[in-house]
Amino acid sequence: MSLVTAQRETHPARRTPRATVAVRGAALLGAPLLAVLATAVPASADVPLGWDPAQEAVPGSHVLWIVLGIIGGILLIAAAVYLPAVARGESIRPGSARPDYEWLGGPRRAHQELAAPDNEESQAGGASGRW
Amino acid sequence: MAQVAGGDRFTTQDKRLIDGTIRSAEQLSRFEFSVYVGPTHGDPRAYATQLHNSLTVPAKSVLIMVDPEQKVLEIVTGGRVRAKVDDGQVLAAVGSMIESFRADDLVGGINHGVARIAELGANAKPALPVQAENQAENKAEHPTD
Repeated sequence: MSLVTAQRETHPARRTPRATVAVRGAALLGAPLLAVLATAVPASADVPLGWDPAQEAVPGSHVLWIVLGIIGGILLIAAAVYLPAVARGESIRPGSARPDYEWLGGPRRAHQELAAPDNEESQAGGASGRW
Repeated sequence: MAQVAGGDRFTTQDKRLIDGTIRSAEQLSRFEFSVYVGPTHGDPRAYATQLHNSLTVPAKSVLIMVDPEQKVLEIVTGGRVRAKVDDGQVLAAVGSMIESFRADDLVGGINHGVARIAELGANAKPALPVQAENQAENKAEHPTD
C-alpha cells in the first residue's frame, strides 16, 4: 500500500492535452502583455515648435460663434435649395407627387395660374387633331 | 409607348432629343416653340390657348399640346407666326404628327411637328408691313396711278 503511494508522489499524474493547451495559450498571451506593462512609461514627446505650452482654453463665446456659423451655413444652403420651389408653389415634402405633365420650353405654372383662354378677337391660329 | 405617369413619360434622352429639336427650330424660324404633354382640363382648344397665352411672347410662339390619355393634339400659333404659317399648313403638320402618334411614336411625332412648322416659317415670304400691303393693294386696283 505504501509502495503505491510513493510511486504517485515521485511520478505525478500526467496533464490532459486540454490543460496543456490552456497553459501554453495563457503564457503566449500573457508574456507580451507583461512585457508591455513592465516597460510602460509616461509619454515624453516634446511640445511641437510654435505651440504655446501654456495654451489658454478657447473662450465659450468663440465656440458659440463657430457653432452658430455652422448652423447658419446649413440654414442658408437649405433655404437656397427649398425657397425657389416654395416660391413656385411646389411641394417640398419628401415623396410628394411629381407633376403629371411635361412642358418643354414652357413656364413652371400650376393649372390655376395659367392665363385666360383666347377670346373672339384673338389673332392666334393653329389646328387640332385626334387619333 | 407605354402609358406611364406624366412626369416619367419621357426618358432623359427623349427630353434631350425634343429640346434639341426645339432649339434648332427656333434658330431656323425665329419662332418660340413650347411643347406641353399631359392632361388637359376642360375644352382642349381653350386649354391650349391658356397654355399659349401663358408663354412669354405668345404672338411669336407656337404651342404644341398633346394629351396622350385623351389622344388629343392641339397646335396654337401666335399672330406673328400665323402671318407666315397659315392654319392649313399647320393642319398638314398635325396630320403627319398623328400618324406617328398612332404608331406609338410620341417623341418622333413631336419632333416632326416642331421641325415641319419651323421649316414652313423659315421658307415663308416675309410678311409685308401694313402700309406696304395697302400700297400694293392700291397698285393692283389702280395700275395707272
